[in-house]
Amino acid sequence: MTKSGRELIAVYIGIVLVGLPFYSLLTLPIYIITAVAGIVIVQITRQKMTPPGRLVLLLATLVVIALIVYSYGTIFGLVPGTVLVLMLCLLKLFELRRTRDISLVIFLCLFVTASNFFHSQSFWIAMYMFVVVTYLVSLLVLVNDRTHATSLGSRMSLAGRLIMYAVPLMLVLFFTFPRLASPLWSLPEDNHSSRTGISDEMSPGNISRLIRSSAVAFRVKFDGDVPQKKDLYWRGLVLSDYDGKTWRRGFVPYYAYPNIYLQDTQSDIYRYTVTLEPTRENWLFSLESLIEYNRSFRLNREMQLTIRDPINNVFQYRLKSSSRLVNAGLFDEEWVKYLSLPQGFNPDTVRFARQQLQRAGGDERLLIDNLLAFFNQEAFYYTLQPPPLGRDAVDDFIFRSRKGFCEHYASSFVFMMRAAGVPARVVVGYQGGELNPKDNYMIVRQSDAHAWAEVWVQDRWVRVDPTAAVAPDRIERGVQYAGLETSQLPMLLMTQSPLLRSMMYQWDSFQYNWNQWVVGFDSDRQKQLFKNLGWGDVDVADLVLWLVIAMTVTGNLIALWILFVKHSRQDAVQKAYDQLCRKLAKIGLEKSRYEGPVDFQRRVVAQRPALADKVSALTGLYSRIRYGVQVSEEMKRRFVRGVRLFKA
Amino acid sequence: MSLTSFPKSTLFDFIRKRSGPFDGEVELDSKRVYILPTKTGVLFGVLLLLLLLGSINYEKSLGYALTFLLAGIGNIALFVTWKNLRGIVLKAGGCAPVFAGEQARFSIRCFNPDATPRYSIAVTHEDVEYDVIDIAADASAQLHFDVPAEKRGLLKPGVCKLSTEFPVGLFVAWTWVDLNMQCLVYPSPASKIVRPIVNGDQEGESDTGADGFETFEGLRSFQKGDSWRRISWKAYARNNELMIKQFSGGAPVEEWIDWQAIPVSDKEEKLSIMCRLVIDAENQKRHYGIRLPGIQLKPDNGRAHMQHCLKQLALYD
Repeated sequence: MTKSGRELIAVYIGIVLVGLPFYSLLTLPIYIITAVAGIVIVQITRQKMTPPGRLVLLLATLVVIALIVYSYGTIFGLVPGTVLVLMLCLLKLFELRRTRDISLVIFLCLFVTASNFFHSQSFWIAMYMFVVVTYLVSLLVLVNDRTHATSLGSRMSLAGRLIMYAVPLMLVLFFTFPRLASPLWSLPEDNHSSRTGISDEMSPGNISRLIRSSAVAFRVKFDGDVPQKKDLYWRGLVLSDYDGKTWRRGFVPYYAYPNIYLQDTQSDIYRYTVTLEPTRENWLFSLESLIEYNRSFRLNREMQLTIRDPINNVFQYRLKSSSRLVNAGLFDEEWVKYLSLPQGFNPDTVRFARQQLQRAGGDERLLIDNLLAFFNQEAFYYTLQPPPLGRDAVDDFIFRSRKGFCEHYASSFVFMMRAAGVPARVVVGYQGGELNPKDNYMIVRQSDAHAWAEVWVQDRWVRVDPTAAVAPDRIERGVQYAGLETSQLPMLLMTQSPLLRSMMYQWDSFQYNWNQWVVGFDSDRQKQLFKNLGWGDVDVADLVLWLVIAMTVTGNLIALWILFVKHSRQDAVQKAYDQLCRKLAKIGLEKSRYEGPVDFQRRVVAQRPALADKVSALTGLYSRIRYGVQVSEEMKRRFVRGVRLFKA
Repeated sequence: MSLTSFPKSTLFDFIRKRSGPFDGEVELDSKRVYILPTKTGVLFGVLLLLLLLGSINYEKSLGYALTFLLAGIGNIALFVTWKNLRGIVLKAGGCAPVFAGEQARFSIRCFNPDATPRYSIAVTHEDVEYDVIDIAADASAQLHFDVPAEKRGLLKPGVCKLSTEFPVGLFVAWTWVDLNMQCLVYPSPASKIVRPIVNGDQEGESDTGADGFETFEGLRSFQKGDSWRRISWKAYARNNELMIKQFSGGAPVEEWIDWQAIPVSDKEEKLSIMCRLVIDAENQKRHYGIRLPGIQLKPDNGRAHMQHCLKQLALYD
């Protein structure tokens, strides 16, 4: 025996609602299974089909598992596991026997809802979570409504009310439940989720894809001075190994000290807090040159800032950078590393670079200036749609196509420097940022992704951005002013309408605060919150105390409200009866408080025989509504109408 | 047996005392409504724990939010479930007498004095659930449960349980209540009569008024068992309907159903036979009375008389 049709369909809809946010991760077979299950359920409900037997269900389970393995290669891991749970819930629909079976399916759905947060913790996902939870709770009401007395609307409103009362408790727990600074145990997260952002290699097309995205990479709030836009180079990774096509990270000995020293006290110091969107990588972005950072981070000789675990949540960190630093010398291995080139690639460029070095008389600075002038004066174009390059990509670019964007310029510049015997490396990261006047922080988008070069000149690393020689507006004003065809950039960036821009800033500011106070609410934020509220430094014990106090107060207030405050939307029948009593009181027949309706009726009949019929009929109806066994809404309406028409 | 079965142990005397018996109305006040998580509720707790561990470990803020929202919902469900039962005013409903061996059907009147309706309230007796009802706002409804009537006399069902898991099934709120209800159980009528035990007092008189000495009273519809000799054929010719002539004035024959006259020694068997005789006599519209040691009910007929007689048989000891 299975549960009734409407319960089946309702739970099916619940499972679909829970699965919707995963739409981009699902495969065609999964959609087909879901659709088939839906059709079968409708057919069973209409009694055009008998529910499948045990054997069929077992086979179906095996097919589902096979299709998941076919789609994802495994049934373990976040996405395949989630899909498996959802599919098993669907199959369970065909053999629901007891109320508790449905409850179990609903609980599994709630669990799957939580796994959403591995992919996104945006405001919209949070709102969607409320919708899903409301619906799932209304399903619980459906299965526990044993007389089938409620409608979908009343169940949803009951579920909505449960959630409304639960929200204060949620808020209290959310802000006071002690957050741990480190996880309980370390489990690898799988990598099915899509990543956007700088990756740890640069091959043709990587960055141009990023530039087309208006997604936010990170937001930065400066304490005090904000650097000029042309100086906002957010260093991410240093790429030093080149194989002729792709730039990759080189080996950096972890035991070597960072290669920096503070030069003088005159330099500009910037203090800032970065709120980084999840990158699922473990490197951080910073302005050069770092002088202060959290001790749990690691800064290597390439001034690359990394942390231990990949960043799967919104992550906040405070940094201090100085504009002027000197470097110590290079190790011998580093000379080799930053000068090495793939053998047999780009012979024209190698020859050209050596000529240029001779022309500059061996002066590295002059060489750099000459090469930048070369980019600037020859017919180089900045475009996101460069023609494809051949095996000797740098030769093709410099002497033939001459159309490209930052990655082409950075790559060929570093190649030429190395060919001329000057140590050089590619740096990828972001350049620029847009100030949000709403909250005075800087938005750095994926479209600000950039690549540039660093060259070892006179015993220090010097940043050289060949793109600036070709498209100075890209650096000074932003990618949307770089003279690209507008169709290559996200619409959002191009808009000039002040209204749209102000709405965009407003919304971005909301997301910034959402990230600050909800998604990025961690043990540091929690401490800061309590400090801001004037309770000083709190430790876990204080938090537990606050938790208990706040929960007790809130819980009791809500309990009092639910249990003891008369939600006296006094019913129409009582109101009408009171009205009847008032009408009788006007002619001198006042009902005493100790008099029951029937006693009062007898007195009225005795004193005013003329009213006997009407008053008796109304009182009879009233008693039947109040104390009768079968009370219909029609009776209540009749009574209310009768009282309205009654004339004393 | 479950946690919500009525405790038999004397340890729980304080609960037993609270449960009655009560005469008249009982309001289910805060003292009398108990609440515990259901198995589903325990499962929900496990879910919350898993969600919390996951949120802590993966530092998912919205995971915390979902966990805490669900915990809040659980907490609110506790209050709402409890409130769904608390405050109901119970009153014993009537119970029609039954014969031993039948099911006695008890009813409880439940009045909901609140402005909000109550849903899915179940009544359980001896661990068997009988009935589920809703009670509209400011209205009453009736709960029924059946108890097998095993022997004659007064049947007291004792404590029954009213419970509800509405709205989300995470908690069960219940109360035990003994409304001091009772049901009159007549002896089970013997299946066959050993031999006619009719003890006419006025012996010699004929047994029916059928021979027409009485004055004609009128006509009534033919009923099964009526003598064909009394059919008014004139009326049949007129209306095409069988009518029976009724007479009055003749003294009806009175018969006694007498304890002494029943030739069985077992008391219960005797009562069982008397019960059968009373029913038969009533069905045949005879005038009958009963004699029990120390009790005598004068011959008469009609439903009320029969019930009166059967009551004596039920309560005789």
